[in-house]
Amino acid sequence: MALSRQEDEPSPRLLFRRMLTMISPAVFVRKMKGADGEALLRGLMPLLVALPLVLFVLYPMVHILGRSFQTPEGAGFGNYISVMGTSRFLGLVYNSFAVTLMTTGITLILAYVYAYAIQRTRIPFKNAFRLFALIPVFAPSLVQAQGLVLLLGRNGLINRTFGTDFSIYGYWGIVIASVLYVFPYAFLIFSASLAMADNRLYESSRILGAGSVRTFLKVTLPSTRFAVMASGFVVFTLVMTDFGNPMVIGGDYSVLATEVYNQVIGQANFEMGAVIGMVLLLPVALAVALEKWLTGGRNMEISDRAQPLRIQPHLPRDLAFGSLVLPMASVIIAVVGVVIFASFTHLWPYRMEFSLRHYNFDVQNGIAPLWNSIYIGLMAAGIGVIAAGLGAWVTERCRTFMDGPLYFLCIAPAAIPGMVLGLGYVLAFNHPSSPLAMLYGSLLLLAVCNVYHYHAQGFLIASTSMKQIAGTYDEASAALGGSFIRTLRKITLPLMWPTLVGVAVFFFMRSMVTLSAVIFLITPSTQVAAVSVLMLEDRGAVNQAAAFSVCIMAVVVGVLLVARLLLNAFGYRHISLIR
Amino acid sequence: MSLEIRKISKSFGGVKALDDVSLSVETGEMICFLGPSGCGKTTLLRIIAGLEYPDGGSMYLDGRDLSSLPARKRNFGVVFQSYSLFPNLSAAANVAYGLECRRWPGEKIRKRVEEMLALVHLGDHARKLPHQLSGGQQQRVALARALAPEPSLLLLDEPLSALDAQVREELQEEIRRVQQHLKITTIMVTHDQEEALSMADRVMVMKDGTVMQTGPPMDIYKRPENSFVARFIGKMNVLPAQKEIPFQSHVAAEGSRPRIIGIRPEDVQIACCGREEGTFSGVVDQVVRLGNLTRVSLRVESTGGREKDLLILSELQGMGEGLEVGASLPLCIQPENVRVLEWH
Amino acid sequence: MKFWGIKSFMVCLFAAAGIMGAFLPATGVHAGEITVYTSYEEDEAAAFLAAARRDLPDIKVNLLRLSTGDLHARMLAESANPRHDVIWGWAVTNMVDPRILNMLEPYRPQGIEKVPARFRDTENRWFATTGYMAAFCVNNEVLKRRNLPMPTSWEDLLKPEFKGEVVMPNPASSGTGYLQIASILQMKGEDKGWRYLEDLDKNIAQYIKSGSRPCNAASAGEFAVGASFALRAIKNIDEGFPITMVIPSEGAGNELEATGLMKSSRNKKDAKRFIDWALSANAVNEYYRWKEIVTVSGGTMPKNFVAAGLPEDIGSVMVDMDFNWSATNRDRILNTWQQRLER
Repeated sequence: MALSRQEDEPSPRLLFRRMLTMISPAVFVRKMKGADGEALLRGLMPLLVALPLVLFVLYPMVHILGRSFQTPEGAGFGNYISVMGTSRFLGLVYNSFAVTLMTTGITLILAYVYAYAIQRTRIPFKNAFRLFALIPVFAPSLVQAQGLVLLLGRNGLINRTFGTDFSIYGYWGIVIASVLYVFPYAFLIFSASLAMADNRLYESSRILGAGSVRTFLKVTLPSTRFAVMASGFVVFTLVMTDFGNPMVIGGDYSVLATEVYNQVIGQANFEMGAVIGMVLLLPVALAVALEKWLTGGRNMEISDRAQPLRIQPHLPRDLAFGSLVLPMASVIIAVVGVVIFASFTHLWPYRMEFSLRHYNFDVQNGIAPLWNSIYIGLMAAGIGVIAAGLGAWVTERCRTFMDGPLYFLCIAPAAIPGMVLGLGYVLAFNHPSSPLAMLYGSLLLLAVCNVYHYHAQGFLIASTSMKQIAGTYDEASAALGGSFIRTLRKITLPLMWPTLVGVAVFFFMRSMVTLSAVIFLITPSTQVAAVSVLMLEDRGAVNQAAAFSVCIMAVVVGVLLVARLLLNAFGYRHISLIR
Repeated sequence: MSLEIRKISKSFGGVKALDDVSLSVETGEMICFLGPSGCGKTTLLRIIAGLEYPDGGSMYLDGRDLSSLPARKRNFGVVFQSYSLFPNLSAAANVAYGLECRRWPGEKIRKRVEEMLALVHLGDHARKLPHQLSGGQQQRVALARALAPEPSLLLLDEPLSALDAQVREELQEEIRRVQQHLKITTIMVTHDQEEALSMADRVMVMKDGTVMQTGPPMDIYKRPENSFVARFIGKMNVLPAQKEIPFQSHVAAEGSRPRIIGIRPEDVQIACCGREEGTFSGVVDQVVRLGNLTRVSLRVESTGGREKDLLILSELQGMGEGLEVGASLPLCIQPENVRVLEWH
Repeated sequence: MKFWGIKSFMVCLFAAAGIMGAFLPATGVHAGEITVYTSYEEDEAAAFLAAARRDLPDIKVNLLRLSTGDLHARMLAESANPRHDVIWGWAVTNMVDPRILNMLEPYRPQGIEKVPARFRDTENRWFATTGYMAAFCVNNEVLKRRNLPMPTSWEDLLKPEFKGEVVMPNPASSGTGYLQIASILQMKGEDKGWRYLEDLDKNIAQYIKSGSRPCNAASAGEFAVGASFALRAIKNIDEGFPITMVIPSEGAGNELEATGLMKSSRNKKDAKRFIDWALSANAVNEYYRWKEIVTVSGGTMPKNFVAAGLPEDIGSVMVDMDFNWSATNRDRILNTWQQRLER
C-alpha cells in the first residue's frame, strides 16, 4: 500500500485524526502564512455549501422539533406522551411497518428478477423492457393508485368486464400501488449492480463445475449484496413516508404518513403533526444511517481488470425470465396506460367514447399550475446543479476538516420525509421575524424545497462522477500554476457537464411529480401541477385528474427526450438520465 | 536551481511516512528517489511539489523558504505516473495550460507549444486528444507540459512505471536527453533500480520513511552501506562476518566488531586465484545458465559446529562449462571486494 | 493577475443571486392587489371570481382555494405572518375557532342588513352568505346490479343489505364529515346519536378523508352510497354520472360559508371593497346560480338543482344547526369518534 495515496478513501478514524491535525494551531498557522486570495476563497467554499444546507434543512427541522415539544403548558413531552400513549398510534406503527416491509420484500424480489433478466439473460426487446420498468418515475406517485382504482376498483375495468366482485382498497391495495411506485428505484440500483460483473469469476465458476443455481448463490448474489441493501433501504424510506398512495387506495387502512397529513390538514394540529413527523423521521433516519454504515462506500467491488460479462445463450433460462418479465411490464403499462386512456374518454367508466374535453381544465388556474411546475422545475434544476455539484466538489476536492460533517449534511435530507420538510418550511419561513420570510409564497421557495428534498440523491450522482475524475487532474493543474477556479472552469466542469445535465434532469423530473413537501407551501399564484392532480382527484374529476397527470408525464418525457438527444449529440450515450 | 530539504517529516494517521528526511539537490543535477513501495519516496516528492504539507521540517529553493508557498506558485514541473493529461484538452492545449496560467501572450504560447512538442517528437500530434495517443506519447506530452513554463525544478513521479518495457527504455533515454539538454534540476521517483542507476546523477535509497544511502549510482552499487541497500540494488551475498572470509575494514570506529559483510556475486571467483588467503571450498548446489552469464550457488560448510552452512552466490561470465551439481570447488574472494555492512 | 479568476467567480455568484432574486415575489404591497382564501369549490370560485373581476376591474384578486380542513391548517400555520387579506366562503364552524376569530377585524360591509342576524357574528367579524348541506349520492347502476332499494334516510343506511356499500367522510379530516356527524348528534341527542353512528359503522366500507370523494366514489360506481353534500351530487348528475341525489329525510345537516376581513391585511381599502362586493346584487345573483343555500334573498334556485331533487324551499329539509355547539365541541367529538369508530 502506497502511503502517499492513502488519502483516497479515508476511514472515519483517519478523517477524525486529520480533523485534529487540521485544527491544531501549528499547522493552521503554517497554512495561513501561505494564505492568498485563493486560500481564503478555498476556506470559504465549505461554508458556501454548508450555509444553505443549514438554512434549508437544519433550520426547518429545528423548528419542527421545537413545535413537537410545544404544548399549551409550555415546553415538554406532553405531545409525545399523548400521541404515543394511544393504542391507535401503536396500530399505525404496526400498519406502517406491515405495509413497508411487505412492499420492500416484494419489490426487492421482483426488481431483482427484472434487472437480472435485463442484464444477465438474452431476452429480446431489452431496451423496451428497461423503459417500461422506469415508466412510474415519470408520473406523480398518485398515478399508480389512480390507475389501480380504474383497473381493479369495485367498479373498475376488471370487475366490470369479468363480472367479478373484489375490492382493491386496503392493505393489499397500498402494497400493490407502493410496489409499482418504488419498483423503478430498486430496479435501477439492481440493474447498475448487475451490469458490473467480472466474466473471469463466472468462467472460473463454470470451469469448477458449479451449476447455474450454485453460481448465482455463490457469485452473483454476493457481488450484489450491497445493491440489495441499498435498494432495500431506498424502498423502505420511500414507502414509509409516502402518503399519496395510501390516501387514494388505502381506504380505512391508515399509516403514519397519512396520519401526519390528517393531523395537519384535517385537524390543524401542528404539534401532533410535528410529533408524528419526528417519529416518522426516526425509522427512516435509522435506515439511512444503517445503509451508510453497512455499505460504507464499498459499492465498487470490482477490480479494474474485470472483463465484461459474456452472456451465454440458454433458451430455457431466457424463456423462464421472459415469462416473468412480460407480465410485470404489462402490469406497469396497464396501470399507467389506463390513466392515459381514461383521460381521453367522455365519462369513465360509463361513456368510453373518445373525447378531449377533459383537457379543458375548468379549475381556477386552469393549466397555469403546469407552467408553474415547469418554472419551478427549471429553477430547481439550476439551483440543484449548483448545490449538488458544489457540495460534491467541496467534499471530494477541498479536503478540509469539515469534509465529514459536510458530507453528512449533504446526505441528511435522504432521511427527511418530504411532508416533514414541507411542514418545517411553513413553520420556519412563514414568520415575520424570519430573515427569509420574503421567500415564503414564492416559486423560488418551492424550487428550493424540492432541491433540498432530493439533495442527497443529486449530491450522490454528482459525487460519484466527481470520484471518477481523477484527483490528479487537480494536482496537475495546481502544479502547472492553475488556480482552483481555473481548474474548475477549464477541467472539472468540462468533464462533469454531462453528469450535471443528468443531475439537472433529475431535479426537474422530481420537481414535476413531487407532492408531499410542496403541498404545504403553495399559494394562490404558486400552485403546482401535482397538487392540481390531487385537487382534481379530490373534487371527483377523475378524468380531468388523469388528463393533468398525462400533461405532467408528457412534459417529463419531453424534457428527458431533449436532454437525451443533447447528450447523444455530444457523444455521451452512457450517461443515464433516469434516476 | 538548488534545493535544500531539512528534516522533513510527515505521518498519515499515526503511520510515519517520512522521518526527518534531509537532502540537498545541486543545480542541473538529476536525482532519483529509489525504494520499495511505501518507503515514502512519493510523499517526499509531493511535499516538494507542494501537493502535500509536511508535519515538520523546511525546504529552500536557492535559499528561499518554500514551506508557505502553494503548489501553483512554486513553478515546478510535475509529471505523474498516471499521465494526468486533461482528457478534454488536445495535446497542444495541455502543453499550453501552464503558459495560460502564467498569462503568456498568445503568440508566445503558440511558439512555445510548438517548440516543446517538437522537443518530445510529437509535433504532428498537437491536435489529438489524450485518448487518441499511446501511453508513451501521452507521457511525452506530459513531459512537454511540465517543461513548457520553464520550471525551476522538474519532478517526475514514477513516470515510466505504467509503460511497456520497450517504450520505457526509449523514454528513459528521452527524459535523460531532454534533462541534460535543458540542464534542469530534476527529481525522479522510481522503484526500479535499473532505471535509477542508468538515469540518475545521484540516487537516494529510501526505506520506511528514512534515507538509507545517498550517492552516485556506481558508488552505491560498489559501496552499499547496509544490507538493505546491498540487496535492493543488484544482488549481494550478505553473510555473517566470519573469519574464513577476509575483508579490509573500512569502518572507522575502532574496536567495533563488524557483524555482517557483503560480497557481489561477480566478486566470488571459482578455482582461479593462486593465493592461500581467502580461499576456501564450496559444493555446487545449483547452476543457472543465463547465456552470457552463469549463476552458481555454492554451499560452504561451516567450520564451527553450531553455525549453519552458508549459501554463496557466484556469477561467472560465459557458459560455465564443466560446472556440475555436487562438485567441490575452491573459491576465492579479494579482501578489497568485501563490504562491511550495517544491519537494516 | 491571480485575482482575475476570483473576480470572475464572484461575478458569476452575483449574477446567480440576481437571477434568483428576480423570482422573488415583490415584497412591497401593490395597491389594487389582494389575496383571498376560500373553500368554495373550484368551479364556483372561478365563476364568482370572474364576476368580481368584472365589477372590480382595478383590483387584482389572488385566490387560493383549499378544502376547509386544509385552509384551517394553513391559516394557523401562517398565523404569525398571514399572507391573505380576506377569508371568503369558509365553514362557520371553523371560522369561530378562537384562534381564527382573533385574526379577524370587525367590519360592517355595505348591505350587511340583507344578511339575517343569525347568519352573522355579533361582533361583525364574519357573515355568511352561502352554505351547503349533506346529501347522499346513490349510484343507480350499482343499486340495480346488487338489487338494493333506494335509501331515503340515514336510518335506511343501517339495513344489512347496505353492508360494505356505504362510504362517508372522515370527520377528523373533512369539514363535510364533521357536519354530518354533528347534525346527527344534534338531531338525535348525543347518546342516541353515538349509538346510531356505531350501528352505521357496521355498514361503512370506508371513512374517506375528503368530503366530496364519497360522492365521487359512488358516482364512479365503487360503492352504492356516498354520504357527501348536495352540490357535489348535483354537479355529478350534470356531469352525466348515473346517480340520484338523496336528501336524508331526517333532515340535512348543513354548514354556512362565512366571509371576514383579516386584521393583518396590508391593503384594507381594497379588501373592504371586495367584501362589499361579496354582498352586492351581482354577487348574490352568482350565488343563486351555484349554491343550494343562499342566506341573502333576491334570487331563485336554478332549474338543474330542482331537477336533481332539491326542494325549492330548502329550509324545509335542513336541520337547524347550532354552529356554536359544533365549534366548541369539535375537539371532544372528534376525540370520541376517533376512539370509538376510527379504523
